[in-house]
Amino acid sequence: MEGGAHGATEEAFRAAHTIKGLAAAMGEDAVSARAHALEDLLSGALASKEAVGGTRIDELLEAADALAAAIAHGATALPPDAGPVPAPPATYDGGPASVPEGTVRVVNVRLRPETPLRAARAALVRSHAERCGGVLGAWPPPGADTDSVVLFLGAGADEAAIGEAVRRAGDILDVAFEAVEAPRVAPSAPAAPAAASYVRVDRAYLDALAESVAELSVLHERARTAGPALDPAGWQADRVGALLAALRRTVLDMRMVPVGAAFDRFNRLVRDAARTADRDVAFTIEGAEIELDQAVLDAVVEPLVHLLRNAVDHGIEPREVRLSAGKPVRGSIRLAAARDRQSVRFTVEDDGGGIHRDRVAARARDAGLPVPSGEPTDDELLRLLAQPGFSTAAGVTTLSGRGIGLDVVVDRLRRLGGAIDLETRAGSGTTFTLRVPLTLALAHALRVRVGGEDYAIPLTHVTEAIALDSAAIEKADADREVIRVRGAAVPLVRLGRVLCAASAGESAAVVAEAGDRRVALGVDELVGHEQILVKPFDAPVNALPVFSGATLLADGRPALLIDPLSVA
Amino acid sequence: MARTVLICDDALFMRTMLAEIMEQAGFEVVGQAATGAEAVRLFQELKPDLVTMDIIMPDMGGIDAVREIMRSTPDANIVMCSAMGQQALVIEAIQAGARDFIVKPFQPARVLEAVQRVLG
Repeated sequence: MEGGAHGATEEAFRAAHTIKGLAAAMGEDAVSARAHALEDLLSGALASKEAVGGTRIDELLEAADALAAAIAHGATALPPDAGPVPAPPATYDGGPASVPEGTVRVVNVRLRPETPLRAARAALVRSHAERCGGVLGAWPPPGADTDSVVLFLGAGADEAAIGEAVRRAGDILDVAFEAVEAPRVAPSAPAAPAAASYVRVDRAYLDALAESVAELSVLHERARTAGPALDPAGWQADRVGALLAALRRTVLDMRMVPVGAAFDRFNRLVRDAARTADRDVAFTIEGAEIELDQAVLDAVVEPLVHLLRNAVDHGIEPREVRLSAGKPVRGSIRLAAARDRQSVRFTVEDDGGGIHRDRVAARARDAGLPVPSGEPTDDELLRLLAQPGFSTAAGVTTLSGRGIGLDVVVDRLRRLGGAIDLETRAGSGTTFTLRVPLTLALAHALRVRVGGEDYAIPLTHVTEAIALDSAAIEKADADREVIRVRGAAVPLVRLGRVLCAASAGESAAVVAEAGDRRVALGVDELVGHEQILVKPFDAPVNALPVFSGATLLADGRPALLIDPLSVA
Repeated sequence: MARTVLICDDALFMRTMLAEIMEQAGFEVVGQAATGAEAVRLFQELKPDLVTMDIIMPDMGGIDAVREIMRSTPDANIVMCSAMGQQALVIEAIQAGARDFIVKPFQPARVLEAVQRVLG
């Protein structure tokens, strides 16, 4: 609305008016009164025919907040739900609009639970029965996915023949005949309401569902690798695997929400922050339609809030500074989301003054932190800023612009199995890039062996795994090694050394990449590819940063998750 | 006298496997077809007790072959061979007159069950 559009004001006015009317009709006087107040303000704005701006907006937002609070209060004051909606009856009553006229018998045919291509089997049941004659209709229609078929028989039907024909269709669990009393005009009256396209589900159920599916997947993996002893034909495991894959896809799809759902509040946040800090800021959002697991989105919101606040408070310069630097008075902050392989990338970019590398280095030195000689690179800068000791050092924020909360952001990202990158350009701005996995419920991982122990490397940032030939390792300098991956030199880090484990000699390397950071992690052995269930991991305070979580492997053994980029 | 079977599949490997299953169960495999057109021709020529019909074949698919055969012989016993993803095609074939179907990968027991059901 700010800066103008008359149409938007009108739209808001109509919405306030509607809420007022509905609330009054339902006796929600508090809501109605607040909607009325908002409506008044908006009608004033409409009458003035001028662009709505400045303090007017503040008044409007206050009125809208008051209305939202009243509505929320009204909602909680409602009596508790009358329990879950009852499931539709399991009989045919919910199905066809009516039982065909002349029906004297109804046959209920149930398929075996594990029937493959059961819709086709149901079609076969119907076709076999129809060949006997006397079948007036069937439910559901051909092609519908179903585990049972209802046949409607007329007076002339040969029940014995139909029963026999139906059983011959195969994969039949049971066949039940039921007489229909006199003139059965079944639910011809109001047809069952069409199923709603949306169902409200408590997140807890969804989480529980996702967890059982994930655990089933792990169990399946275990059964599969246990081999022929358990499942001679491998058929059970295949079948369970196919079912699981379908179930998992559904559950994960259900958990996906467009990131825009969380972005909406950022407009307000940036606006409020800009007002408080007395900055002029244009805020743009891109990629609101990108989809992400609800749980990941929830977890990434707080880091984004931190970064956006920082961008306003410390990124964008005061007007006079921008003017004297020859930049537009109004600063710009851009939040963008994009899909990148099995992860989603968030970018928070400002066109402010950038981070003063020398000041950060000086401050870090004062705080007694180890500081590399020379001007810190972007990566070193990020590491310094993310030091808990650093962010509490007095005066840092006003001097350097960044610090507060960045340790929290980095820690959050690490727990999510994500990564963060920083790029800052003196005088022209700063960009933070966050990468998070698409979903938390289940991750693909490489199982590797180092010094006789197995570890899991989530595939989120892995680009490839290659055989490692010791002759192909080059020395970059005294203690750094590189290998060539598709022609490009990539730093090689021997995982055994990071873990202080007795490596049996590296035979493979796992290449990981995030932004322009790449690393090849040398491991003794690639054991295989597994689906893992990532368990929350409360690392001891002095744990190696290379561990990002824990999991149970397919054979039931616990293993630590390795974050390859932590050593990049 | 052994019951006769015509096996129709464009993959030699599939034909061989099915033929083996059938022969071990005492059927006589009287012919093998690699296309729908060939299936129709061999059916008219051999009049087998049972036909196994792949769905996707070059030169007339399995479903059209079923229609063609049913036109001349409404009581032909045709069993469709399907992969997991071909449910809609199987239903079409059933509506065209196929008597049963088996799902790849084939398990001999399931194949013979279907055959017994059809030949009863």
